[in-house]
Amino acid sequence: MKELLVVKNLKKTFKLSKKQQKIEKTTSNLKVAVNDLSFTAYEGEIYGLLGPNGAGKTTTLRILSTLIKADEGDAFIDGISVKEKPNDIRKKIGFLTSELKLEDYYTPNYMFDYFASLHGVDEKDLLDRKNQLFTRFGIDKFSEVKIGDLSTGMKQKVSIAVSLVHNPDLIIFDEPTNGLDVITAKTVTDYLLELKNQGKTIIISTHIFSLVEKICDRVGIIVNGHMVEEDYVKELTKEKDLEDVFFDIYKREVGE
Amino acid sequence: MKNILTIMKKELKRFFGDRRMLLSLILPGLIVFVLYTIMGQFIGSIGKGDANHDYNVYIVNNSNDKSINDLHEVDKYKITINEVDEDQIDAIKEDIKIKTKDLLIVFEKDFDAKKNNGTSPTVDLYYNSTNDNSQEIYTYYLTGLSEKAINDIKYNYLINGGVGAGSTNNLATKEDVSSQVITMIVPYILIIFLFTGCMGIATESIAGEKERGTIATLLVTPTKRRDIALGKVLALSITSVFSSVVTFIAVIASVPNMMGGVSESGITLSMYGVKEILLILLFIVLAVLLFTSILTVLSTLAKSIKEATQYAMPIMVITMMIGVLSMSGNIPTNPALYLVPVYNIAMGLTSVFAGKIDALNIILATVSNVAYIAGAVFALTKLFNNEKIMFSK
Repeated sequence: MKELLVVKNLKKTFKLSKKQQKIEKTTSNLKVAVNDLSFTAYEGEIYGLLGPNGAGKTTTLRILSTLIKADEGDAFIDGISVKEKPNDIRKKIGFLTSELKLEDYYTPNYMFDYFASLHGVDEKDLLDRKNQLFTRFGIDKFSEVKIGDLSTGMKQKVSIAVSLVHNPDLIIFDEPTNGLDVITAKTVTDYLLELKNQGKTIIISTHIFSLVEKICDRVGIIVNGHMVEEDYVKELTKEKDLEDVFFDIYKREVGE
Repeated sequence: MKNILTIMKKELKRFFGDRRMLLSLILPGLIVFVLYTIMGQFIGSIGKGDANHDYNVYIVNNSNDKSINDLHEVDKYKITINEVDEDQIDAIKEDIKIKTKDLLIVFEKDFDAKKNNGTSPTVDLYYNSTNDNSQEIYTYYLTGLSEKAINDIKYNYLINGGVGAGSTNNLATKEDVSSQVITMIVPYILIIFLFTGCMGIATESIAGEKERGTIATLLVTPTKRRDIALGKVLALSITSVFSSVVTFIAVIASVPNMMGGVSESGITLSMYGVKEILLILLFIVLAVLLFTSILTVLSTLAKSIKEATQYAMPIMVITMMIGVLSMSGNIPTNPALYLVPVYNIAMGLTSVFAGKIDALNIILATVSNVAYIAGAVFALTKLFNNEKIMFSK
């Protein structure tokens, strides 16, 4: 299997403001969010990053999506360095998180064309892609409705469609079903499986065990910025379900 | 009662505990103090001549009255008296009109004799209100002659045919009066409107996108940060330029109505041609681009629209103060001053409206502003790459 994503020894430290120090209940003005993190994702697999809040999942995905830079280490997507060539990486990835939003004033149709243009998608591919994604997510009926007037679920579907406008090789989803109703969440998870079957590589971060068990091939468990366990989901859940496995690992690492 | 106090204490803690909010409570008072101080200083300087000016006063049928002649000898002014014949009156009036001479005093023939026998002779003073030196020396003589006429029974003469204010003796052309009025008002109004127009949209731009969570969506596309910065600044500038041109037309169109009471002959715009209009548009575009780029940088530094507006407040105060300086109509001759941002735009506009265009100063103002705008766009590009700025909460 081809290694599409190789993450090597990532480290990211954030400076904490006094306010943040109070929130984190620490006297140190530094917080190590990700520490010596390495993993590999293969072509055509769904890789899940599982961990509690503040474990470093979102930071890792933000580094991979070029929004922030690692202090140490690097990641390579299809052999291209995230650190050295962020612009080339952006052409290869689709990144989506519930924090990334589309402007309410515009319509899905306009936003799709806008982001297609920024990604350099040509006219013919654009129409095919739009037709395919809008039909798949049922956006076609709302394509001329302002995003601000759409339901939360439909907004999320439009965001997914827009993030995939350029047909990326690697899809990075941070908490893909966060805040979605069960119907929309199912649409999203079904689509992730469809993408996998098309040969796409998908990295998701989540703290929902059932989602990992349902769609992920492999899982990496992150605690306090460290990768503490990495294996095939089937292997990890041979004897116990994922939730129990996770808490055993968590107790081992944190001692609680 | 206890609950009222509890709620009140909580609200006051918010108002006086938050430094930014406290600043926003104090700032209006500070603005008023600084603005009124500057305005007071410049209002005092209006119509004041040069301290070292040699006032050339021309007199026809000079009076031999010692008390009147004493007016020529005063420590405050260096006055050169030129006694001329009646046939030179028209030529001197023309010189006053073109500001090469300061004042013409025409005493009626046999003024002293008529004054002494009580037939109230006239004395006419001709000046140019758009020439500060002429205006100042005119005011001095008018006051001096009036005081004598009012305070002493012997001085029964009519100044300016008895009109007093002597509006018909003001030799300033309609164009000069209009230019003076427009120079005093329009650059200030324009700068304020240009800034507030830009502030309305530029402070919202990036900070608003951060608040709504839409900026990161843009930053994960393979678009160069420089292109994002330029695209944003240019779009905001086009919007602001459009709004500014409409404002400019409205200001110019409303000046004759607004100034109806200032000049009896009304206001004309005939002294401005294509060159002046193009230069004014140039300064409007430069101002809008400069304000937009600076405000967009501040908007990027801010975490919210509210914070961006707070950051913009000091810049607004400085801009208003510079705008007030333009109201004096005094145009600096030192080219180095045309490198000072915002001030050079205010002075550039003032010089165009006053009809005192200096090519070197215009070029300096243009080139320096283009450099400042480029610097701001460069800073914006750097900020877009700064994860702490773009993603801190």
